[in-house]
Parts: sequence; C-alpha cells; structure tokens
Amino acid sequence: MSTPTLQPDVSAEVTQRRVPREPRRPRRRHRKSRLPYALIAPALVFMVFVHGLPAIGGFVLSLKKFNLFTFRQLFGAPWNGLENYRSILLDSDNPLHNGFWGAVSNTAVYTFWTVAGTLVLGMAIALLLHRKMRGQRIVRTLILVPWIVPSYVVAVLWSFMWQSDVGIVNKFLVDYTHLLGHRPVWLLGPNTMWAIVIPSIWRGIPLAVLIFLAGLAAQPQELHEAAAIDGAGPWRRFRHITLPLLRPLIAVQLLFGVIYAAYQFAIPTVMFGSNPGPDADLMMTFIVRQSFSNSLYGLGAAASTLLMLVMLVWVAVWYRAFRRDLEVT
Amino acid sequence: MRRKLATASWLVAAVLALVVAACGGSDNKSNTSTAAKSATNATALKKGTTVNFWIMPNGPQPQQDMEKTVAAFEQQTGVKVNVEVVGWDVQLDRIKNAAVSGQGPDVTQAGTTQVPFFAALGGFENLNDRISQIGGKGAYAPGVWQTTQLQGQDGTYAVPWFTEARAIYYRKDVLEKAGIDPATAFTDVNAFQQTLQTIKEKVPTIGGKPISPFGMPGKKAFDLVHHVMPFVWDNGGAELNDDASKSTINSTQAEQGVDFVAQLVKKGLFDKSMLERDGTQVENQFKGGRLAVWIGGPWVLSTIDRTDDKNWVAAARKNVGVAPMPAGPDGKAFTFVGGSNLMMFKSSQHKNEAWALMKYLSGDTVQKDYANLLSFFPARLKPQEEVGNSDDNHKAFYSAIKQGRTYAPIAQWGPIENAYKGRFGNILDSAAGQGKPFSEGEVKSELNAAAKEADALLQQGS
Amino acid sequence: MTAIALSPRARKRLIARGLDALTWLVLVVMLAPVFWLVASSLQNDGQLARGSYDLLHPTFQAFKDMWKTIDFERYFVNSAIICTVAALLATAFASTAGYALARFRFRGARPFGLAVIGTQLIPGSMFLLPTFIGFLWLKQHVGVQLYDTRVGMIIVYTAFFTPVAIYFMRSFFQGIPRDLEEAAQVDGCTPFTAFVRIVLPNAAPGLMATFVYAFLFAWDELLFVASLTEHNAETLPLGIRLFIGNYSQYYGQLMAAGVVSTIPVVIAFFAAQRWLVRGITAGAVKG
Repeated sequence: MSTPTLQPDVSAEVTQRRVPREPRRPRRRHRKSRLPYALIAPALVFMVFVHGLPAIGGFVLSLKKFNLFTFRQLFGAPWNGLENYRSILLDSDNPLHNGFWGAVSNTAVYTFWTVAGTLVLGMAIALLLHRKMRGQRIVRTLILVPWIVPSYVVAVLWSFMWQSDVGIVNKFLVDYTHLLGHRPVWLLGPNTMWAIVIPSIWRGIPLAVLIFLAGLAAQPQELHEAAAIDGAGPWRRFRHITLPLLRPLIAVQLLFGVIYAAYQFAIPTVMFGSNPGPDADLMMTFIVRQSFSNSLYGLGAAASTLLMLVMLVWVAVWYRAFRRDLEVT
Repeated sequence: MRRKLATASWLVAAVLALVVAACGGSDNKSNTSTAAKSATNATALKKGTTVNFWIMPNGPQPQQDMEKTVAAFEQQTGVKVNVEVVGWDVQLDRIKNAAVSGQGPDVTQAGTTQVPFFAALGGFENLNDRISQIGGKGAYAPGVWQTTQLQGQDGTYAVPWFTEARAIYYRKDVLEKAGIDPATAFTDVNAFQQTLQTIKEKVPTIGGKPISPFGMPGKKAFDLVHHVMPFVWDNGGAELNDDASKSTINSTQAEQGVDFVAQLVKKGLFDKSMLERDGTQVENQFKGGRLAVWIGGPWVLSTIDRTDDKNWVAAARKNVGVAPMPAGPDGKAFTFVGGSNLMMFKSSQHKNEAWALMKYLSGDTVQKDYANLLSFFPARLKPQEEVGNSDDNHKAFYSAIKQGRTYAPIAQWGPIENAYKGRFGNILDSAAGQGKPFSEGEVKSELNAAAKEADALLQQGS
Repeated sequence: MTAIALSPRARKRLIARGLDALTWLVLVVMLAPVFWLVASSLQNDGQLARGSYDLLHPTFQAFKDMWKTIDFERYFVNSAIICTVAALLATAFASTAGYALARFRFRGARPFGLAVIGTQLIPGSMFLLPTFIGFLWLKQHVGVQLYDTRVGMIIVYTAFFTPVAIYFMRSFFQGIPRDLEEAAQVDGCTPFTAFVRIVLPNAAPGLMATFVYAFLFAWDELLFVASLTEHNAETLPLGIRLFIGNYSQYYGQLMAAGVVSTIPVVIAFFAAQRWLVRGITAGAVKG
C-alpha cells in the first residue's frame, strides 16, 4: 500500500471527533468572501465565449433567411423574423415539419431505454467492481475499453454485427445457440431502434461504472461497518446507505444522460447514413439532415432552438425532483 | 511532503510541455499566400509558388497516386503542388466553408452533381475565359459538359476531370448455367426481369455456394438514386420538369419505373439483405460471389486483376461480364453518368498557377493515365474513347456513357436527391417486408411526399 | 437430501468466489464486441464482407497497410495533445467551480449552476456555424488564427467538457464531509489552502474520473473538429473515417486503426490507476 496522503496528526484528531451520521451543523457565518467568484471565474469565461456567444449567434441565425443562397453573407443574411419557426410548427409543406413528431417519439423511446439501461447496469457492475478482488486493477481498466474505442469504429463494428445474413449477432442467436428460429432484421424496419439502443447502453456503461465506483470509494467505510454490526443485510445496506449517498451522482448522470441521449447523433448516422429510417430517426439526425444536408441552415437553427426549449422542460422536471441534491452541503 | 512537491512539479512540467507542443503545432502549414497577385494576362508562372489542391479518396492510394501524377507538372513548371486528401463525408462542408471564408485551397475536386451547389455559393472562379484553351464545350460529351454549368447563369464553373457511368455486371458462368445468351439477356427491362427470374429458378447455387439473382443497396448508399433513376428514365419519367421548377417524380411514368425496381424485391429476385448495405458493401457482395447480377461503375474493373483485393472469390473474378443498361418500353436506354470535376477558388492567390494545374490534368495523356489508375473514364472525348475501346467490358461502359444522362444543374439538387433517396429507400424497405406494408398506394404516397419535399426545396431560391 | 452445513466463513468464501466469477463473466460480455473488433482486424476484406471469419489464420496485413492509407501518426499526436490538455484544463476549472458550488453560498450560485446546465442544452447543430464564423471574425479583425489550430480546438473542448465536469466534481465534493477542511482552517489554513491541501487529495478518485470523462469525450468528438479544422489540427475521429470512401472501403484497416487507437489509452489508464488507488487508500486511513 502506498503512503497515505494525509498528515497523521490531523487524521487522528478527526477520528476522535467523528460520530457516524451527524446532524446538519449550524452554518458558520462566512465573511463575504470573494473566493467563490474567483473559483468559478475560469469556467465562466470559457462558457461565455464558447457556449454563450455562439448560442446567441445561433438564435440570431434562426431569425434569418439563411440557406445555401444566402450562406456567403453569414450574419449579413436577410432577416426573416419568426417565419422559420412558423414554418416548422405550422407549415405542412415544410420539410422540417414532416417527420418532426416521428423523430420526437423515436428520441423519447431511445432516451428512456438507453438511460435506464446504462444507469441500472452501470450501478450493478460498479457494485461488483467495488469489491476487493484479485486482478481488480485489470478489471477496472478493461471495463473502460468500450468507451475508449472510437465511436465511429464502434458504430461500424455494430453495423457489421447486426447484418441479418452474415452478422455475428444473428449467427449467435440462430446458428450457434438456436435461441431463435428465424433471422431478425436489425438494420431495417422497427428493430432499428434496438440496433442503436444496445450499442448506446454498451458504450455508456463504462462512464456510469467509473462515476459510481468513485462515488462508492468516497463513502465512509465505518457507516457500512456500523450498519453491518447492527445486523443490516447487504440489500438493506444498499437501499438505506449506499443508494442515498449516491443520489447526487445518480441525479447528475440522469440529468446529463437524458440530455446526451436526446442529442445523440453519431451512432445512428454512422450505422444508417444520414437517413436512419422512420423508426430510428432521432431529433438530431432529423435536424442535421434537414438543415445541413439540405442547406436549410436558418430553419435548422430554428429547429435546434425549439429542441432546446423541449429539453428545458426536462431540466425543469429534473430540478423539481432533485432540487435537494443541488443544495450546499 | 517533498515527494508531493516533486510529483507536482513533474505534472506541471508535463503540462507545460504539452502546451508548448500544442502551440508549436499551429504554424506547420507553409502557406505561401504572400505571393504576388497574378497579373490579368500574364501566363508566366512564378516558380516556387505552392498550389494547394484538395482531392477526395480516389482509389486505394489517393495521396500517392496524385503526387505521382503531378510530379511531371512540378518538374516542368517549378510550381509545387500540395495535395490534400479530404474524405467524402466532410468534403461538402469543408469546400463550402472554404468558399465562404476565403481560407481554403486553390483548386478542389468536386462531385459532378455538386458543382451547381458550390457555384451558387459564389466562391468559385468563372472559367469562361480560360476554358477555350483546352477545347471548350466541344471537347466533352454533352452530359459531361452540363455538369460544369449552373442553371440560369452563363458561366463555366468547373473543368470536367473524370467520368463514371453505371452498367450491368453479371456472372458469365451463371448465365451459361441458366442457358441465357448474354447478348439478349439485358436488352430491355422485360428481358432483364426475365433473366433474373430464370436465374432464380435454374441457378440457386453455383459451385456449391448459394447465389441470389440481383441486389442493390438501400438508403444507406450515397448513390441509391443513381441506381433507380435509369429505370425511371427508361419509362419516360424524369426527376424534375424541363425548366427544373417542379418535381415530376410522382408522375405515372416515374411511378412505373420505381415500381419496376420494387417489384424485383417483391418477386424475390432481389436479395433483401443488400438493402442493409451501402453501395461499396453490395459491390463486395458481388465480388464475393453472392450476387449474379449487379449495377455498378467502372472502377470495379481494375480490381479484377489486383490480387491484393481479397473481396473477390475466384469464380467471380474469372467470370465478370458487363452489359449496358436495359432499354425502356420505347426502346431508349439510359444510365446515370457522374464523376468528378475540378473547381478553382476565387480566393486563390495563384490563379495562373492553379489554372496551369487544371490544364495539365486535362491533358489527353494525363487524363488517360490517371483514369486508368482509378479505373474511371477520362472526361475528355478523345482519351475517353481510347479507354472505351480497350476491351469488351470497357466497351460496354463506353456505350453506357454515350447513353448517359445526368440531373438538372441546379444548386438545390443535392438536397432533392436526399429527399428522393429517403423515399426510394422507404419503398424498397416496404417491398422487402420491413416498415409499412407494400402496395401500389404506398408507392404513390411516398412519391407524392418526395415531390412535395422537392418542391419545397426548389422554392428556396425565390 | 440434507443441506450441507457450511461454516459462515466458508459460505462467505463461496459467495465471494461466485461474485468474482460473475465479475469476470460481466467483463467478458462487455468486451465481447471488442474481441470481435480485434478478430475483425485480423481478417482480410473479403472475409469481413462475407462474414466468414477464419480465426485460425489471422492476417496482420490490415495493421501494416493502415499506416500507408492515412497519415495515422499526425492524427494520433493531435488527438493526444489536444485531448490531454483540454481534459486537464477542464478538470482544473471544474474542480474549483464545483467546489465553490458545493461549499459556498454566494449570490449568483444558483444562476451559475443553472447556466452550467444550460450550456449542455444547446444542440451542436445550433452553435457549430456561429463558432466557425467566430473563428473567421477573430482572424479578420483581431488577427488571431484559431481555425485549424490545436489551440483553437483545446479552447473549444475545454469549454465543452467543463460544465458536466463541474457537476461531477460538485457531487464528489458533496460526498466529502466538511470536517477536514474546517479542522485545517482551525489550524490556520486559508480556505483555499485547505481546498488544495486537504480536499483535493481526498477527491482524487473524482478528479481522476473527471479527467477520464473529459479526455475520452474529447478523444471521440467529431462534429466540431470536422468543421473547425482543415489539415493541421485534425484528430483521430476524422482520420479514421478516411478508410471508408465512396469508391473503396477498407474495413479491415478501419478495425485495425480502432484497435491501435485504443491500446495506448488503455495502457495510460492502467498506469494511472495508481492515483485512483491512492485516493481510496487515503479515504481508508481517514476512517
């Protein structure tokens, strides 16, 4: 074991003072310190210049007639007011209107299964890896590998694996194990949704495992020990100690997991091309196809803004559910 | 404590080293854009200038092949050519950004159907004044020449570089086993279908391996529309009306053409798993002996003799036959003609040198040599004919080029093609039993939707 | 049949062994597609297309050819530099900001926290073009070249991955009891020193996790690097796509490149596991 990083005296003092499950202490009056502002400053600067300004720029572009004929004028393109928004929402002749709701429903289904699968499996595997065992370092490193392989390669690999005639998945299901009698078609039709959900879960598990592992590692050992001594079995310990302490991490992953899944673009595009078909067309593939491939940039910016508004609803929902976890400890 | 300090200083040193490396890397490009602006009538080339040339992955070794090709040019003129390979998936956005930002190469390759789109962006040089130096319109077949124009404008925005057309590839041994005479197998669409039917009945396997009569890629392929449109054209249909103001893809004739292809799927003459693949993957299935008949381009011919192309199986390699596309009910046969052109950026600081490069690449010998490297056809008439006469398979392609047809040179063609591609893909999927149930009404409604999307895209210009 | 009476210790050992086996099984299932990737890289293109793998006669041709087909070294070096620096910066900024959000009540904390979430809501398709235009503007009016530079990509990636990292770090800090910092401050440390000397070492697992998160997301990012680079600063995700063209495709080499892209990173993370272990050990000693 390597040298502990804490100075021995402090830890001894702390050990003496420590009581399991302390109630919240009265807050010490802080002088109006400028420290927090300094701490957030670097992040804030980057966010303003790379996210904030361009996002405002994107919104401005959504109010302009910005297509392939006006592209070279960039921000000088003619104003269009809210016409872009009207076209998408109300104009049934507009390319970005048709297929919009199909993409929304596909995205909802995809997001639900991907996030649920990733978090549940990620938690389970993290619990497994948290145990002390031989080869722990190897296992913990190798579990990251699905995440390290470039996503383009992953998508191509899975598109090979999903082929209905020669792909390994069907070979496994039908030829080797005889679990199925016929060869399902994964890359066309309704199964295309599963063709993208499963690789997404597979790829998302390593991050969830990593986060949960770090969270588990930081949990005070003595809480578990005390509970075990009191007679609580592993499942009760999990439900009443582990899970609540992990709640902030679950909340974070839920929030960003849903956003990331709803904005998924790479996997369906690489697997299916720019048009994944009516069952796997997600909001981002729809928007990128209609706005970039079809050079309808202004409309695309408007659709992106609308998409953002939809996600704001999600954030509001999440905030109500997890507001507690945002509080200062 | 000291150990922590040591570790921390190593970390800081490592980060500093990385940051220095990061900053250092930015000035790698030797962009000699400080060279003097070219004089209007001076044809003297400045030695030592560098022309930046973007190409797409043409062939297995695109960088090396091109550098070899321009070596003689560099020697003759003293102008250096900086070749850069840009992938097909990013080239549309890259060229567009370069045209608009003014930060780009001097010359770029572009797909024939993309030229109007780029020209409409406004960043490309009109070559009307220079094009006569290489023979002008007369040096090219009409279909090829059309790809340099932009509808409604009087200008030449590109120089044709190399050409490809689609024709029918078939397995000679399969036809023989089925008792079909290749000379009459694919003369018109009915014969085409009958041939496939006969193959299905008489030759389910060959050499002990199963083989399907026909296959075509689905909506994943960039060229799905190029595969389907010839059948539409054969039936007298068209993708747009004559002045490209309205879509006609939902006309009765067009519907017949599309329906013909869908029926091939429905009748089991078409291997459905091919719809999961893109064009090259289906090509590899033909090479691998899974398909008896396939529609493809000339670049496959050069791979027949390349032993390092492991996609071929011996039986397929030895028995490749090529036939022109079938004729429609009124006796006219059409095929899609495509390829790539060269365009010069307005922002180029070395226009004379760039033009010299384009002229060099249009030389008859250079055309022939480069096209042979890739197994495409030269764009210019004379070398095109020479290559066309080289062997039977090339002859079939050459006659295909002569029947060649391309799309209207409008800027919005790319998006319209995308719209058609999606709808064609849906129709084929449904014929294969995936997605909506197949019926005549289904075909009609998809084509109506395609026409509506295309019309909306055409409105953009107004 | 009577139940076999196991001593509690033997029962525990059996369960432990069972769980060990389960862990290895899970690892095998998770890595199965990667095994398939490696197997695919050892086939020739024909075998890949037909799906008839010959596992007994692997060929390394793809690994040899991939270096000739694309300029792999340039992409790899660019990726390594850009992603490492961006991930370091993102982790650093995120830890200070996350700490501020976890420990301090200050005016602007809530708006800042929400703004951080807000940055993640902006679809890439929305601010891609404006960022490109912004780079152009900087070049034309300020003379700063960020387009197609490593520095430009580092700036963009740092900004991308800091926000989520802030939330991660905040959650990690929330899991660390205040006692230690307060004890240190009682001893005379300033809050900032307490942060650096006491809290950060305890948050080592979190720091490591955040760095890995930022690094791997940057390693894989495609949309922005495709638009904001042209040649000099191109990264691996762009380079490996060159194997698949319209007229010729080298899936075998693509798989080989996928394998080669993964190995050094795996080795680096394996070596860096030490930091994770240290953090856990510190926690154990603290208890």
